[in-house]
Amino acid sequence: MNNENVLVQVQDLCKHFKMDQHKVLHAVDHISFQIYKKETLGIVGESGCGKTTLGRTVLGLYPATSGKVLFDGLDVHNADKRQRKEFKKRAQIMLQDPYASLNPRMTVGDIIAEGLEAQKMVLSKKEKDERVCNLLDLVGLSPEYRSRYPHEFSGGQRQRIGIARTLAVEPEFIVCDEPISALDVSIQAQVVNLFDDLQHDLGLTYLFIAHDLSMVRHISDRIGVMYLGNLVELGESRELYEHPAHPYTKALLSAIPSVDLDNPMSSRRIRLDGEVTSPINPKPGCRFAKRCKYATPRCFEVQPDFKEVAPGHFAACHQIG
Amino acid sequence: MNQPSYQVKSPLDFELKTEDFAFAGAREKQNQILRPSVSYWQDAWRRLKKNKAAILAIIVLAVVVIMCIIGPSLTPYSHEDVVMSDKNSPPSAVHYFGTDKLGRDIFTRIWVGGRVSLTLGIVGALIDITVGLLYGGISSYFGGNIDNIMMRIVEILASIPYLVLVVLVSLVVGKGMGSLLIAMTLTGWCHMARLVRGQILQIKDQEYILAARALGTSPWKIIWKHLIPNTLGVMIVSVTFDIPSFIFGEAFLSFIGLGVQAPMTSWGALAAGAQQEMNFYPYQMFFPALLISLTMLSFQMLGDGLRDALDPKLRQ
Repeated sequence: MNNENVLVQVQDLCKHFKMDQHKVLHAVDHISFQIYKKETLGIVGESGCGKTTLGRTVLGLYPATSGKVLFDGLDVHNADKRQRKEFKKRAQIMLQDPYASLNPRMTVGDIIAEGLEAQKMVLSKKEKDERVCNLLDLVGLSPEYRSRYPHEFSGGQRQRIGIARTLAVEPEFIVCDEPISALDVSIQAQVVNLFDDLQHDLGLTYLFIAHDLSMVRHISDRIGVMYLGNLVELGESRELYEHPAHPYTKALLSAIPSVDLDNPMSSRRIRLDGEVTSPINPKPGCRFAKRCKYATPRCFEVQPDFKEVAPGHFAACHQIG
Repeated sequence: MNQPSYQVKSPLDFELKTEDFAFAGAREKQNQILRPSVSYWQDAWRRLKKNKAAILAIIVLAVVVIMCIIGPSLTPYSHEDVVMSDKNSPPSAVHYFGTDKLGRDIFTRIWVGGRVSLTLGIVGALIDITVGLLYGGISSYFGGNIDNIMMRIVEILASIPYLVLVVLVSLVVGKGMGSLLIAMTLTGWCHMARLVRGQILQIKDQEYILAARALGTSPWKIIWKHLIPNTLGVMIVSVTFDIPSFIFGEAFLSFIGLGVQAPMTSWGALAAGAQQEMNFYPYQMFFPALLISLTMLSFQMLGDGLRDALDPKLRQ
């Protein structure tokens, strides 16, 4: 793919949190990748590996410690006030918890209209009402719900209200921060299909953060695997699932429960031993080395580069190539 | 060729289509059960109505307020009228609550004094909450060093002894209702600011604030539309507990002579005046004390009821 198709360019992005004078938590450490227009880039990784921090830093909700995020050429972290406001119209976030992400004291109509007002996209009250009704219809909710309060809705309905709020400002790029993990399975499918339809109809680009591997495979064009603040592997969805290169990805994929009834022993689970390295003041070398059965002394000393193992397929491991 | 009969289709062998996961019945209006939307405040009011103690408190407070407004005009006397021939007379049809040692009608004086006590309580609490809400809101919202500096200021102010401050203010401004109000609110808002700060620190990390920030909502609008409405419940409760402390503070200061000056009066001043001759004329002490206790008790009960009613977790 050429450069014209790149919507988001993340360059050597770091986000460190200072815990106290000597402790620094490296939540996102030297991550680089690109997101192409109208694609879905899935990010997977275990809890606490920095997925959420990555998503929020990409959107400029957290200031970056170092590195750059370029959105359509705009440096997100060094934009002036006007550019930042414009950026917030074009790039949005979809949050995980449908219970915490809606203000309990605001009506559904006011919640959805919040972005419209903040971005001064509607002028009259009537126009606002019309837009809110359209948005509710778009996510499959009755327009009559706009005068109600969030506590009257179920988790799936609330998540759709959240989607309507996100879509209100007509963004091009949405960071979906585990938008389905708080929902039960049948509702997950509904919401994922809604995401799919919206991408088709509105030409959206997603950064889809999740830990449900099968769901990510279903929705993503490309997938990135994170481990303790590092991006360890990135590739086309099919390629990554069929030919995982990094030992961590292999272990992660082997953990997907198999429904292959003909051959129940086809996928043997790779068990990871050893403890997870702390992201606080990490030591040099590969973060995964302590749990990796292929680790050599070099792995504990030098951090592996992120190199191309196949066209469009990158991995960070000394044992490959 | 015929299929062999033993090849039965497995129940697990089925295909899922996207249509199977369409949203159920969002547009099927005929199936919809419509019920009136219950807002947060309506719900709270419904819960408060069930609390008998709180309703009783509201009734008592309403009676006290109405009497403070119309009470003095129910008698032919003014609160300043001195009738020496009629001093220290016990409660009767002429003087409902009797007269004091200068022959002034206690019934009239109680309600005139109540105006002072209640006004002080309500205005004082309002000043407290306004200043506390703004100060605590700004401090916690911006956080970091701003928060640190603002909270240290609060701690210094709150450490000044209350009585010292009152004496100083009455020396500078003079005695009276104005100086009482200044003296009590000068540091009174500090605890309110702390309370608001704690609440907002808790709320500001909620995801809806993050969503608002991502949408480009301005900081002031986030404070106004998200933070304040979500702290208001706690604030209202704290105001109902604040009002009695003002009433009692006024009563106490008037009792020791730093408050409202004669011929103006208040519940505290009335109690102070009656105290010297309490052994002989207990009724002079009884009525102001009764009003102080009743009002404070009612506000406390109302605050208790409000706290329960405004907590959605207690919904049955």
